[in-house]
Amino acid sequence: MAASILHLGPERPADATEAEDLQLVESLRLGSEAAYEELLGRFQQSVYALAFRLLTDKAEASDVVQEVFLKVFRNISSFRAQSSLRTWIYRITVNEAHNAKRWFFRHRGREIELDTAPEDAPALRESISDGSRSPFEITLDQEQRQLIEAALDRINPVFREAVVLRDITDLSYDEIAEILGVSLGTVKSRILRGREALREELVGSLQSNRSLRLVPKTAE
Amino acid sequence: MSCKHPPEVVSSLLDGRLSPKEAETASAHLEACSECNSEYRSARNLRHALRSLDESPMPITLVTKLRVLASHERQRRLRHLNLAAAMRHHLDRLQLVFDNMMKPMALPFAGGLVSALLLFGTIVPSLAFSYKYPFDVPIMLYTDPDGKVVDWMQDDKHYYDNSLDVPRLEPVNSVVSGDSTAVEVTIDPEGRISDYAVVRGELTKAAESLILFSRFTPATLFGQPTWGKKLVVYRRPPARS
Repeated sequence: MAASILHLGPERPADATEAEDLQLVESLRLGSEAAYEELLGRFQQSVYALAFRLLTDKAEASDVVQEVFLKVFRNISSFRAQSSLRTWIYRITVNEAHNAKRWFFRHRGREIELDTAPEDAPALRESISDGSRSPFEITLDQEQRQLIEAALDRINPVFREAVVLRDITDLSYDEIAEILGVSLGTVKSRILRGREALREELVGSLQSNRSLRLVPKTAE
Repeated sequence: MSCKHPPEVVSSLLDGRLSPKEAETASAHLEACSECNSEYRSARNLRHALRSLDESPMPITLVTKLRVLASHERQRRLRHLNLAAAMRHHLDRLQLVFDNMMKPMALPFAGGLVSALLLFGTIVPSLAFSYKYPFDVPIMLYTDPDGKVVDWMQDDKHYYDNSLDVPRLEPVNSVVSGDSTAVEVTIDPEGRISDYAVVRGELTKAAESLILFSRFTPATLFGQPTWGKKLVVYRRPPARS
């Protein structure tokens, strides 16, 4: 089931019909409180997830998400339903992430984080014992996740964008082409090259970290 | 790569972008070609791994910020939509500005008022404004007769004619110069002269009439009239030419 893989808000599926999109946009234009709630409910998590995958920095992603929603709220009147609402919002997200990245590289190292993010502290659910998975499995998963994230971070941002939109956000080629503003062929090639680059990165990091791999053995 | 399949076929198959016929051909090839098969499986595994990446939860602060943002933007939109909302918004802003202006002033203002009242309440009564009461009764232990002639002998005009003969009343122990006439008088509580003694010079007619007919403010003891002594001094009149 594709919907289970998508990073959606809990209330509504993101791929709502066009009519629903238009209704929501109309309610937003009229300033309905429920519409604002619904828009946030439907998109805030997926926009944050996308921004985080593109920027790999929580604080940056948070800033970008705020910028994205500010733009969405301000420019909702100019939404012409030529694309789906989701595509339109993701397009804004990708553009904002680009801008943030540009800014970030220019100002990197000058800023000091003021928020000591409480969300970095271990959550309650992490301290409650989980009987279903062994610590070994958790560690293995965690290590695998870290490796993939690191590899993702290292590949060319242009390819990363395409791979993230395709394999993590699970968008179609057409939607990706629309979001990135490139042709379908370019999307295809970027996804292909991105996947290859990612695989090469992973193979490389696995070879260099071989000594650290945990290999389960039976007791003798 | 010994296999003639281009790499995008695996990618396209994975993404379901091949036509049913192409997909069938590709699947058949994957079963035959172990190289392509392992490539397909590794690509599939990679995608699975990517999808199973933990969805990092949104920071709580961001959720709050977004709600605040949505609320602000909604208000903004409503303001643009109708006049009443715009008016209300401006009134609210005005009220807020006024409150923000007055709040910092309220405490200093109240404090200033209270301290001013307190200070003036305590200081003003102690600021002595000297004011002479016309009929003040001295209540000191003892006062001399102050030498004020209360009742002059009205008939005897020659006192007024000759200003030189106007007497001067001085304390009993004052020093009198040689060419004056000094009479020590004892003044009773009524202000009348009850006794006299010529200290210097001779008793003149003027002095006599003064002793007989004038009245003085008496000496007081605890505010009550009492006996007192005073020296009446006349300058000796110059010899008439």
